[in-house]
Amino acid sequence: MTRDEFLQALRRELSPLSPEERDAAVNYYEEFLADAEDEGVAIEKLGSPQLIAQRILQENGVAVPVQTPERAPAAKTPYYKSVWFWLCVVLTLPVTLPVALGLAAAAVAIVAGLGITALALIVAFYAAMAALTVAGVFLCVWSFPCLHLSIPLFVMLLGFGVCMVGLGVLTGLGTVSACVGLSRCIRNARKKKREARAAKAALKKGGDPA
Amino acid sequence: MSLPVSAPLLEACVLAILEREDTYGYLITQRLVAATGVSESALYPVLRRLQKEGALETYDVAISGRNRRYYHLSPMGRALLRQYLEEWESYKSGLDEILRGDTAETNTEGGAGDDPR
Repeated sequence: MTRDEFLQALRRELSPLSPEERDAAVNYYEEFLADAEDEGVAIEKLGSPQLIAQRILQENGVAVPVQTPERAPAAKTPYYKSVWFWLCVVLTLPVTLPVALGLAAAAVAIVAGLGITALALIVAFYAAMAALTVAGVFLCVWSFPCLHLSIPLFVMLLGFGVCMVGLGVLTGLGTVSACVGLSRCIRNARKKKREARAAKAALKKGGDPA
Repeated sequence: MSLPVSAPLLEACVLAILEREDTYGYLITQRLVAATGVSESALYPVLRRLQKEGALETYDVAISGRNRRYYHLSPMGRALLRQYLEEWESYKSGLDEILRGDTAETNTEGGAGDDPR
């Protein structure tokens, strides 16, 4: 291991520390190696940067996972890059594939069912609104011929008519605002999802160089 | 070495070395390694801890185009060393009694004035 490799590995292992602490340790060892009579021998005597870093991390109260230096790089490779993961995927395919297909079909059916129900409800409410309003108007108009029969009858019919028109208008307003709210809800959920995905991507991009 | 040196003892050794003269990390390490058999990387955490506690001060000296950091004992470090030396005397005489069975060697003087060598 050369001097630069040693110092670089040390800096990497000390990444959980604050920049100040990390620089202090790396500077110390940089100077240490410069003071040594034989740099190569000194690096060999110091041992692995991982172990040196572990001591410093413990001293700074950072929890250090117990791992041998040989195993450290293996733990860092993500699971989807390992041969074993893909072997498992392929071997369990006969079982996982039908289960996955079944679950997907069920999910589609539920979503479709909910969609159709919502649509039907919306249509029903609009129909109710139309019926109430039309019936109300009819009652109002029909109450006038009753005027010469009896005034109480006329007032009752007119009242009913106005009530029905009012109910119809309220139903319509309620349905419209419910529709608007629902669509806004869906749009917000989609937007949040997109933002979360973007944030995740940015995090991944930012985390890589460190 | 079959007798490991504890962290406080290592601290005491560093303070004692620096009481005599200001010096730098590599030299302190070599002296500690020769005397106690600790690993070459054992010194840094001790130095850093003592520095944070205020027992040590540092200054840089330019040498062949770079800086070398020297460590200097602060008054607080001096007090800490005195405390350690007292503890060391009682520790040592207690162990000697058991190991050698000799109680004749008294350590009545004890304390800061003593050279721990």
